Amino acid sequence: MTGAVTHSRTPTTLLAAVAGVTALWLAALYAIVLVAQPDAILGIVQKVFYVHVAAAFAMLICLSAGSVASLVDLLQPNDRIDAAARALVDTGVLFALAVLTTGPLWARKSWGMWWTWEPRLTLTLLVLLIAVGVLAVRTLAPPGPAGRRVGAALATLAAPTAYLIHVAVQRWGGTHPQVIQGGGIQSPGMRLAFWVTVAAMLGLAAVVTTLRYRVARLEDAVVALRLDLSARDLRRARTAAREPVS
Amino acid sequence: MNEIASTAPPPRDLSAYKEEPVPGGALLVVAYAVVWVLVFVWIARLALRQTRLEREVHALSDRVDGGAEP
Repeated sequence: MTGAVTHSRTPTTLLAAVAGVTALWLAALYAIVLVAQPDAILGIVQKVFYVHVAAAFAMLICLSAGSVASLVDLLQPNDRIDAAARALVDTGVLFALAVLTTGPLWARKSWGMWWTWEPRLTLTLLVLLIAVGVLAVRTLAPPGPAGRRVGAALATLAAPTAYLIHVAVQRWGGTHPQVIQGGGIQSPGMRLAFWVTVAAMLGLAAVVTTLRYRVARLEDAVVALRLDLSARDLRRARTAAREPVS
Repeated sequence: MNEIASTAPPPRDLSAYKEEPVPGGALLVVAYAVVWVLVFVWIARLALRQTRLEREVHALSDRVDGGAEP
């Protein structure tokens, strides 16, 4: 067997984490539906805000962490860090898709349009394309250091882009409201719903990343086992070629 | 000044204008449904992939152990 680790059973800590995240989501949905008041101007559609912004937090954290892990792996290759980077970028794509589908649903009511090429939206689409590019390189490239390095180099672009998403509204304006950076949420009920949803979403991101990390380690194990078998077959073929024909 | 005023377009008649109704509740339901469908599809995809990879690891391990060199 190789250095890659396989996980045949779900550890108790992961099951406990799933239970915790489920409880957090139940609390979040309770707070969103029953505690947070509907917005006076936008009405009930404003409640998309809780899941949209929480998903954006999860996306920015996953892609930034995946970017940093990729940089570390580029400088000092390590299979576990590479698997973590792949898991974080993959989970980042999930939350980027959530952000880019919930955002337009809110924008339709709030701005009167599904999409506009304002800085934050455009940068969010760009970071999704970077992350999808990383996954495409890692999926399509043959196993080996070349695809790993190209994917990691591409992934390092995600952290600066995530930073630009964070500061886009202050630097370049645009139609995005500045709720969190512009003074915070004033209503206690809305504030409670928002932060419980953020905690639930980050917990969900941690669980999904852990599941993806286990899959990444299994992928590594399969590649290593195939290499072992190929090397053994090659050795046997060479031995057979050296033996005299009787 | 009067010349400018005379060339300005006449004020639009807004009496027939109706604000396009956007169903906020439906948008809200779709937003939460999309997020949950995405999450469940993602987790199901990971679970299926994990099961397939575990089977492959076991099969490959058996081949490596079964054909061990002396």
